Amino acid sequence: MKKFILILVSLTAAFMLYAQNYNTPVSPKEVPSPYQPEVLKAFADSLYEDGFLSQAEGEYKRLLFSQPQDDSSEKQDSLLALTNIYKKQENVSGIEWLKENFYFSSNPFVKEKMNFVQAEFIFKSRNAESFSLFTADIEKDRQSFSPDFSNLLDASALILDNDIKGLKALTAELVTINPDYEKLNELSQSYKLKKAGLALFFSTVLPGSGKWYTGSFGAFISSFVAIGSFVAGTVYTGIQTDWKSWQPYVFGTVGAVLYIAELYGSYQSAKRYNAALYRNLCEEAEKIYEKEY
Amino acid sequence: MKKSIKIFLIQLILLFSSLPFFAQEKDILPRNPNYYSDIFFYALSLYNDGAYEEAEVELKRYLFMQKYAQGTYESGALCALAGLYEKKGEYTLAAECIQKAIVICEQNDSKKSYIDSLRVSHINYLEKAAEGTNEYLSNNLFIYSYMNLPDFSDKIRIRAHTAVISNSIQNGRIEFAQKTYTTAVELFPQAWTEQQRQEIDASFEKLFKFKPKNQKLAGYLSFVPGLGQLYAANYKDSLNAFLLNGSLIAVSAWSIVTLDLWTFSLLEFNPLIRFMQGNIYNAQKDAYQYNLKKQQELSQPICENLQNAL
Repeated sequence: MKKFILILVSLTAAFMLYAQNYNTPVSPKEVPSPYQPEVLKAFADSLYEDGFLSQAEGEYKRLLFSQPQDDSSEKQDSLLALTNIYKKQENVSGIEWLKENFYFSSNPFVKEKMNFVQAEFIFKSRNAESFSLFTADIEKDRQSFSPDFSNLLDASALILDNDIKGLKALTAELVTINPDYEKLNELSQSYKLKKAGLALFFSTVLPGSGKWYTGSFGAFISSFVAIGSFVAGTVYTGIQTDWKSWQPYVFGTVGAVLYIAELYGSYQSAKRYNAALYRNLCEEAEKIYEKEY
Repeated sequence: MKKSIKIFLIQLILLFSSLPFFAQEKDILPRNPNYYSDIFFYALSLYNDGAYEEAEVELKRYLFMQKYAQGTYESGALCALAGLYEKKGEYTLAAECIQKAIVICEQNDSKKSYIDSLRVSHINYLEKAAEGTNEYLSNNLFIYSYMNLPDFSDKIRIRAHTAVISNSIQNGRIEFAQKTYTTAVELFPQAWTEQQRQEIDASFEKLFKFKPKNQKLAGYLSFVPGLGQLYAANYKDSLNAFLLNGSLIAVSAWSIVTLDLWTFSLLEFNPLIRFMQGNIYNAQKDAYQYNLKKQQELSQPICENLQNAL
């Protein structure tokens, strides 16, 4: 018992000494430097979390350039954070700069994220040629990418190349493994363009029917009624006044102008319909980019 | 023996696990002006040279470093940061900074007059943050406590009252503004001179007497071309509407009287409807603008006199 009390007392004394040392404040010399990597990273993270993206960007860059050769987790985290910032800011030149300077020192995960953001930006610009150059450029790293990203690259390339047949086949396959592709698959399977020439022909025969062909029944009715009224007005007032009044000529001229405008409108309506179909496809792909980032 | 070893081990674990609790309070370094003062002064020089964006980052860096070692310029940095936010028109952030600065100054037992000046700035920022929004300043907890807690100096309480009165007038709550003003006068009779009070009272009376133009009525009146605008006291638009819309109505009426329905329905009906719609919308807009302008005119003496509180 005595031994036990003795041990307990000596341990308590040791603890008190330890606690005293533990509590001793560090001298100003030991105060951490604001520019040491962990502190710099923590500061940048706090700016990022508070939504000061540009300021956080500057701090992450400071960290990257203060340790150019280092493969530390701080550096990889900073690269990832910068990628996120450029994505949020939709900063195309930012992500290009990041890739140009730090791509080769990034780990595969960060590389994929950088490519993901750049692919999204190029896809949003709807530039098939740039996208093809981009995919050729990253071909050698492609094995290390996740299948989801690879599939998205393939789908994007097909959309930008207007290869709807290929897209139909791809999305039909992808939808079985990834539910994100459900809507894109639906859109691609039902993708059918309207012929602008046919819309023009329909409207020539029956004013407004070209718009009906492109899916706008309301526009057909309003065009038909407007042009029909002027035709009726021309004929009626012409017969009533024996074509001696100004009225049939004014109504006829307005009617003719409306008719020509309607022909042009139907042609454009078909083009707009097709553009909207394509736009829906692109927007759906953009949603997948957002979901899968 | 086994039992005593067990007790010994448990005590050992308890002792060392309690260590952080003992250490918690003393772990924070005492404030020292040398800690990161170089960052603070660098930020100030950037601020003075007009490099506001860079100064903002450095001030934030200084404030961030306070969790490692506390310097003595924390409240100064927060005030400078609030000034930068003010320049950017981000008054809510500025108010948050000043609020933090007040807390720090209170903890450090700073001069009461300095804390009071910070509180006045806090009220100013909160007032500016509420400007142009539908936010009622009277619902703000800080403003509410500044107004009602007797711990605060009269200067602060008067400023809080004036901020609420101005905000209420801006939001069209004239009755509430007058009620707040009456309370302020009762609480701080020395705040305004007799002449100022008379001017304020007269302005409130005018504001109450002012009958705003009815926007719906302006709309209905403009079925007669220009009458809606005339009611809303926009005489130029009224004449325009009368001449343009009136001519179109006259031509349309002539077509209908002469049973020239084709001309009316094909050429005149559509423009007539569009002109009428535009006319009604303009008359309503004019009535709204008239009310706003008039209210601003009438409340201007109140706001001016409130600002000049003693």
